[in-house]
Amino acid sequence: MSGLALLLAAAAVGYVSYPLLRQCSERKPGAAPAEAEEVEVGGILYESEAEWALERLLGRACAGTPTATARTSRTDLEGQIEAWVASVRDERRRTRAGRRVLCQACGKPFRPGDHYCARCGQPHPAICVHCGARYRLGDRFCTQCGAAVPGGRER
Amino acid sequence: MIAEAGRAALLLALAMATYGAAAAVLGMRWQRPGLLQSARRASLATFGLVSLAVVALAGLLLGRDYQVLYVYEHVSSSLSTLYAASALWAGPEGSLLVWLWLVSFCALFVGRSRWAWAREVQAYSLAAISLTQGFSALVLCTVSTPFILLPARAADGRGLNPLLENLAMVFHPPALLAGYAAYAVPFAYVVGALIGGRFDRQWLRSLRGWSLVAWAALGLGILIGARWAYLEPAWGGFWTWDPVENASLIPWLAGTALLHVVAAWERRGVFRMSAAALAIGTFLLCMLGTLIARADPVGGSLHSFAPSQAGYLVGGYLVVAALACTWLLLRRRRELRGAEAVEQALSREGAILVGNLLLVGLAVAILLGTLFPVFTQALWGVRITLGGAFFERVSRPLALAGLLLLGLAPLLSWRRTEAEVLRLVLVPVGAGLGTWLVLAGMRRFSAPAALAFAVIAFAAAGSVQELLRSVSAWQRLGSVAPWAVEAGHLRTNRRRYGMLVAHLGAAILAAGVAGHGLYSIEREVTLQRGESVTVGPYEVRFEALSSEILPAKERHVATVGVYAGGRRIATLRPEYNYHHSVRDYVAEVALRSTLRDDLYVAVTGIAEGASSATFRVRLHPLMLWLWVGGAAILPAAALAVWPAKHPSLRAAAAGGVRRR
Amino acid sequence: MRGVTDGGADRRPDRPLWKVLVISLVAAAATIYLIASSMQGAVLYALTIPELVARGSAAIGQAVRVQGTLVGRSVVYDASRPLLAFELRDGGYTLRVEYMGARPEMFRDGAQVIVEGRLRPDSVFEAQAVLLKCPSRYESAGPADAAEAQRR
Repeated sequence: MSGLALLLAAAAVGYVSYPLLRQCSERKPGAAPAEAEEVEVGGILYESEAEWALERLLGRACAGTPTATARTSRTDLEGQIEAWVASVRDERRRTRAGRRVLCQACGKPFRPGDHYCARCGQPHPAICVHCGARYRLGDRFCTQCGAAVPGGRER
Repeated sequence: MIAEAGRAALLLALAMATYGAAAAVLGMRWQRPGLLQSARRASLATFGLVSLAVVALAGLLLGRDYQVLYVYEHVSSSLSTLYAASALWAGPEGSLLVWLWLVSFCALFVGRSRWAWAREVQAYSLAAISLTQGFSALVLCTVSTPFILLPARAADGRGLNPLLENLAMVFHPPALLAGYAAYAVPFAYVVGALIGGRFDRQWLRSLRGWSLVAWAALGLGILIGARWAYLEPAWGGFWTWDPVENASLIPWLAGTALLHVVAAWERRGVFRMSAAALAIGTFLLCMLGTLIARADPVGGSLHSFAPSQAGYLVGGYLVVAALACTWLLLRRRRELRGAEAVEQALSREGAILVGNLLLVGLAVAILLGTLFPVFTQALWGVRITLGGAFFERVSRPLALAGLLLLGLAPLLSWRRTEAEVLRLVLVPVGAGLGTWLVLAGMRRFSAPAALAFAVIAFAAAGSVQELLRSVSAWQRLGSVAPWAVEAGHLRTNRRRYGMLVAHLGAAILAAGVAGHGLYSIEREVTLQRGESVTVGPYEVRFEALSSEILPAKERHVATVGVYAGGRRIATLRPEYNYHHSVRDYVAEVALRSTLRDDLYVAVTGIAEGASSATFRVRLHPLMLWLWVGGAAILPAAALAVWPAKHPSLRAAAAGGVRRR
Repeated sequence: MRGVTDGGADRRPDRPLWKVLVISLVAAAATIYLIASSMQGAVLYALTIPELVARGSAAIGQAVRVQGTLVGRSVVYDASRPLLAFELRDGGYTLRVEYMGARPEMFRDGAQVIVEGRLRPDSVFEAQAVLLKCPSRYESAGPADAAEAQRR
């Protein structure tokens, strides 16, 4: 039955070597997943703000500050949660802004696809425009998100 | 022909796995996306090829092809289809093949392209698991191959030992193998992250998920094995501290410790080095478990397969892997040491730390006890074993201390516990003290027994109290911030309830173990027809005996009536069957299980002329609790691993916080 | 991300809390003591029958574990006491064993039996535990067995 064995071997080798012969990229498939709803409060990570609020009601959250007990009034707790929601919203807005790449010379944000700064002409630093990770010297694709390095030699 | 195909498939799988590991590493080093993609495909190809080998072996078993040595050894013509199929994992070669198939299945998930993972970590994880696959394939192709042919076809096979003809034995090895195989994934993830040098949040989530899955599978496998030991060999116990049994318990204990440190890492960023070391250690202990099961270095084990060269290969792999991973851990110790540390002893991290010391301590104690003969033989040339008494004596105090922590920990907060919260501990302490006072007053309960049940009551009360508090706090939250509870109670709190169910299950299991260990009663008597014996509150009367001749066995069924307080409450039918294949009698136990106790009746002899029969009647209090508590592993792990649905912050921000 | 209610001391100790160290050390010490103390009285020498015989009178009273092959026709079982008497053979030597307990299953000629207990002065082995090796996993068949099966 060596014929069957040869057939299997040929199929396996063919299947596995196909990507070596073709041009292929490491770009991640599909769309980005929804942002995780995790929040960090007081050095502790909670799965969501609902969990944080629940832990607060159970008397365990936010160590070091007065915790909610049965005596805390409803409006107090609601007000605290509302204020906290607002602060987290601001924080997210700021972080999203920080994801854009800034030109090291003049501070103008790079537009996606820019190889040189639109204002001052400085070359693009070695930062991946998609995810903000640093390229290493000689990289052809980003080790964080897989996007191809612009200007790098494509294989 | 099928055997040829199977052997070829295994050889190709070896080639594919080795190539996949090399391609993943080189693809990362040389920055070639093609190589990485090829490595992923190699992982898929390995899975396909190993599946082919499994199908081939299954086909040979079901087709009763007695020219294949493995089929001859484990199957006979009179065996039913179910047991012929389950012979797939009856022998060491087959079970290794099934293990490889399970690891290949898990490897598919490791190779998957992921959005949030760093490419490096994924590539090196794939390489690590491919290497493990390649090693197993190597063992399967060289020293432990299932496709050896006999010189000529035999007339019939040797068949399965009737003791193993039990449904529990169909599920026990695969569950255990699934647990062992699944621990390869956390191992691969940690090795990948150590080589890549980064520990991302998404990576941590995946690590936690797989740790839970492997823990549940292994735990269930051990539980099913204990159930078989309880039913089949008619001795009334469920655990013998046999080296092979210990070899499965040790990684499970390490895996429990792993679960807790990964959770602590996720929440607080502490115990990183411990988590990485435990993930690697648990998998290596699983490999050690398979080594002990097949090579029996300790000698005198009840279970082991006969010694084989595969043992040396596995031992070699263990040594190399342990050295390599230790070097990796040391190299990355700076990245692993986070900014966070345990701040207060009375916190959840503190409880996890102490609890893990107990768990790891117990695992080390059992490991030492199991390998003791190996050490003494190496050092002094004489084999000294440690009897079951050693393991009992070591495990009882550690288990009780663990139960104390189990009841206390859910009450504590992360990082720091406010003094106010400590008043909650009064309820479980009250339950424990109350139980102790009640039991100590009763003559039946000795001081250690009363203490054991008091600690169990404390643990159970702590978990139940936390459950109730969570439910009531949720109601309060719903009235204060309705948007937070939109997704539903169970959907949002899965992890919490998973933990509480698991802890409660552990307490219930401990109660079953205590009841069985401390208060079992046994009577072995010969009864004439109509005679009865009293065991505890029950009277067991021998009423009738019937016989039946079947092709594979002679079936003798005794009818036994059970009376309590004069009233008939049950009829049990224990069997005493003569199996022609082994030319001996095998007893089938009859069981009456209630929440209070198990009544266990077995026939151990039938007199000439069937005038009288010898019965072994046992009473096991609270035995059912052991199985119920142990089975809680499954819903607990399922709850904890199921991704939860959390209300979107954006929706809340857009809609504003609704007021009452 | 910081929440509005994050407050209090943000203390991150540079060295591990001494309380934690003390607790860890105590737990480790307790475990080691537990292991050591549990070993007493549970230690068994694992010997084969020839080795046991070779020790002669020195072996009397010592807690040992012995393995041997059961001589089927020597089994005598009195269920009323219960008392199980049988012989094990290994390497040309035979050992008489007495066990005050129930007869295990699959207790037939040729079974591999492990006994734990002490040798009495009258050269009868008094067993505290009798265990059988799980039969189907023990034998490793070779082509010789298969040839025998064919002839049958």
